[in-house]
Amino acid sequence: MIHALAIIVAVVGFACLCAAMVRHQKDLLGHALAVRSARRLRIAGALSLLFALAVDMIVLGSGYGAVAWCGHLTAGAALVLIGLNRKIARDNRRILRANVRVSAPHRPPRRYDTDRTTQE
Amino acid sequence: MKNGFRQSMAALHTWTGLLFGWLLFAMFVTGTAAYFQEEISRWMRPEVVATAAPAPATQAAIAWLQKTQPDADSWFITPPSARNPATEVFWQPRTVEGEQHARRRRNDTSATLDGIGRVVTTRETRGGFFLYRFHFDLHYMPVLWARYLVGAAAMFMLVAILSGIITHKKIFADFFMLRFGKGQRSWLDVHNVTAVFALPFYLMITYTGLVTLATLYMPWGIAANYASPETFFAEVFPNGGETQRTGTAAAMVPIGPLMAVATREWAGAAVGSVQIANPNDVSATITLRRAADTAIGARGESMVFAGATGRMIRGGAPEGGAMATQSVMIGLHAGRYAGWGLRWLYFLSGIGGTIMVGSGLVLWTVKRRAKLPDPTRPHFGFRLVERLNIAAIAGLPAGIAAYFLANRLLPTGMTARAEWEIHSLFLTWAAVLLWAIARPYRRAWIESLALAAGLFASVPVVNALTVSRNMLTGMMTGDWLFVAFDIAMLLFALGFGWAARKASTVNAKPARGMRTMQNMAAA
Repeated sequence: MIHALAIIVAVVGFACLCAAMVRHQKDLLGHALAVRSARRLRIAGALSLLFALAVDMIVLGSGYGAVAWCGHLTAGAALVLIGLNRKIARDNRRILRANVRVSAPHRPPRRYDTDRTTQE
Repeated sequence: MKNGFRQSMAALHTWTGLLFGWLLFAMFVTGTAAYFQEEISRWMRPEVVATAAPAPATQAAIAWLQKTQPDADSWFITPPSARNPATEVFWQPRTVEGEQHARRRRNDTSATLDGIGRVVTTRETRGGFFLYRFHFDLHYMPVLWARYLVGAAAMFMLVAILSGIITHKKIFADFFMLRFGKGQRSWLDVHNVTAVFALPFYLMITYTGLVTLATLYMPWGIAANYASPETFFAEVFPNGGETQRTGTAAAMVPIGPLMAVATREWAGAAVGSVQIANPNDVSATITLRRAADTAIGARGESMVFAGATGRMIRGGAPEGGAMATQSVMIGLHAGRYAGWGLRWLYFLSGIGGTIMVGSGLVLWTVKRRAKLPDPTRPHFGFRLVERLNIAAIAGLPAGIAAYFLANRLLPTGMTARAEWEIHSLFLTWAAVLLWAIARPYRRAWIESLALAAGLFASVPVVNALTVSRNMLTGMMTGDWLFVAFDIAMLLFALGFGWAARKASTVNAKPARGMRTMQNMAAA
């Protein structure tokens, strides 16, 4: 249970850190952030990760908690990355469908190259 | 200057990684599996179902040894625990002066007992323990050579990690960078992301891995201070002293109260093992060791009692700082202390490391393919790396699936059955290597990955047809090990099947630009 809780906190932390990065803002949030909001997000993200460490060390003991925290960070970062890529893929498909509706009346081929579409 | 340094680090990273990459891949695969070695062993011995309280089970085991091996030099008992429901015993038969030291089979000096001291007849297998031993002892070669080889690989791994950190100049800027379908770039992204996300784990696991065999790799500290290494080990790991049998028989005190004393002394931690030297003699000693799952340090404290009187001879003397550090490092590496949650995190980090090494190996070929003078006729070294990559990445997992299948399919009465299970693993692995050499490169990838997927997918099916415990019965009776094992096999089958499909779909289209079927296989 503690593992699930700590991983959720880590996911929140990494999501904040990811959203604070200029190159991911448009993918994750749909628009760019002001510099100040980005900085607030970065601080919030870092604090969340530290909070996860505190929770781990209090509940699991300092040694065990510190080890588990490393695992929780790995899992949290991986989940954020998977979420980010799924969102990008979904958005690309939406753009693709919109493009196809404008340009051609027939259905797009099943396996369509997503990155080519975004470039066009 | 700075650029020059980074470039030389990149070259170091590339070549240290490649040279031991295949061995490191195998070590990562088997090491990761070894985090579940007890569970794999339980799955591979489906006959063992008994569960019992540790103290009565230990007493029953002693009664069984009393009956069958009263003259042994020593008995060694592992009481049942949460991860292994059976009581494991082995014994050291009395050594008679002048007698030839006969080569004994494993089963001649060990047995698996249930909670009331009856032998559980199981199929002969080395179970998850074999995967654990292969991780550092390899197979078909002298253990000492294997350990030197493994140590060299670990050292190269450490070099590759550190040079990799220096080479990867945008650890934070590229932290969440994973772009698919962009050829070499995608492979680099996969390599970077898997490397960075579990970086603390890799640093820990590589360094502590070297520490586990440090006295083998760095024997000079001992050589400078001790006449022989045995003196050192006897001093560091006192085992109660090899006392001579007196020849005067004496009944032994019950084990239960001693275990209770030890558990009280260790703040509730269970007894992990019981060793009885000179049983049934006045000189008998009983050594209790703390279970490994109760603290990070791998070497549990021990307490020694006199067997005839139950008097405590030696309590859990606190270790020195260096010994405690080593014990914690080995504990961190082996993860025996980890509960379920942390064990799965270890396992996932291990899979991350496997993907990191595998993607690094493939990246070597992807990066060079575009620069080949004639891409249709690559030079020998390039072809060698390509084929060894297929054999390592698809072949070893296929071999492990075959190991599980052999466990269910080989006849139970067969001679050298456990050995043939292991041979099945290596035969499958060798077959994939031959296949990878014989077939066109892209077909070889697709077919090998598909083979691994098929073998993993057939494990739950064959299991359901051959033994009475499977996913469905497990769900009904709460036998979660068999549920989890089947699900894990199906997930691996899906993973490899997906990789094979990715490889084949790209193969069907003409390669465009940098894209090869390879970069989609890992995408």
